[in-house]
Amino acid sequence: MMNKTEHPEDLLPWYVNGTLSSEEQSLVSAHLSSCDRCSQEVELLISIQKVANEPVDDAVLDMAQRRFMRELNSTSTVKKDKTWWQPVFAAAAMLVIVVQFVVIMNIEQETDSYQPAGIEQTGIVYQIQFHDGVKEQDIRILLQSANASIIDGPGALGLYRVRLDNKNSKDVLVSATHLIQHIEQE
Amino acid sequence: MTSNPNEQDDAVELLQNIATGDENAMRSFYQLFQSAVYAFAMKRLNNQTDAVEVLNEVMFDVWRSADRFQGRSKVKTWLLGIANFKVIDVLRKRGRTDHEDLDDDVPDENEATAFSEIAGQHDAGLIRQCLEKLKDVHRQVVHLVFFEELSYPEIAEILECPSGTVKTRMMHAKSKLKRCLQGLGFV
Repeated sequence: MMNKTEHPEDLLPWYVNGTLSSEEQSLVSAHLSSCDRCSQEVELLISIQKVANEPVDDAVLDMAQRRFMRELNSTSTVKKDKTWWQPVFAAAAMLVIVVQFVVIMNIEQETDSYQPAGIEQTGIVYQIQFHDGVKEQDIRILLQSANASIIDGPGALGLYRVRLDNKNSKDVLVSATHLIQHIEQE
Repeated sequence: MTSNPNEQDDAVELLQNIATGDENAMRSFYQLFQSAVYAFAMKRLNNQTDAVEVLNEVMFDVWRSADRFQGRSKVKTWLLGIANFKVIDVLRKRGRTDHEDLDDDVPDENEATAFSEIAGQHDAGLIRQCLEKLKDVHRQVVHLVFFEELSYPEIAEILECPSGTVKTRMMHAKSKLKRCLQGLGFV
């Protein structure tokens, strides 16, 4: 429970946009009834809300949508064309998934020192530089598979700082040479 | 932006149809979320061409993988999460990202007092001017709070960062707005 001198400033923006939980909402409301400083701040946040809530340019969106639908039409025949090779492709994809599963299971069997994430900040910190053009989504999948958590980044030079729980995690990253250009312990 | 109460249900139904290759459903889905995705990208990238590129890439991802939506979060949250990855890709290509800058610094308590002093003297034009001067990472959070009207856990999910970081970024945004308004002659 918040004491009288504590100002819930970090919650005020969400008080203004109306998304606080009912408990937080009542807490802030009670505080505002006796705090001029926070009440004034709410007034200013409402002014910011009005300014930030400006509509986007319809002409740009209209053009973007027409381009999207044009490109979609040129590719959609592929999506609709249910041909004989699709079951074969599905079977091949399934085989890849099974192989990946077996590999992951083997890795998990070798590691007995994983700890639940978020309980304790242990492990070794590495700096990682990914190749140019590597997709953020692929980076996240790789880091997840290595049980690595991002501490910071990408920084100005594109460096990520990640925390690894054990050596096996590093091995997973080191083997991903198609994604990682450089990895170094801090 | 006031959200449509049926938005989530409509979007889920559209996704189911998109997964079967229904182009009309894709068109409706695009119209439903184009402003949200475009504005989100624009606040961070500050470039119309790049923002449109992100919007269409996100929509192509939806077209290709609509069946992967698990229903664990709101469709808009899922969509903006995809957009966030695309935005980071663009920033990395440009060779600059600043979205983690200063996250650990907590704004000075005294600044909040001074900030409240300028409330009531606000002017829309000057606030707009100061919002434009914010770092894109801070402008993005302001946008998600006040344009998308998202809760802090939803913003944390989109940006893949702890809720505390979202709050800190917002505090920084407020602090920088205050400094900017002071610089323009307030207080």
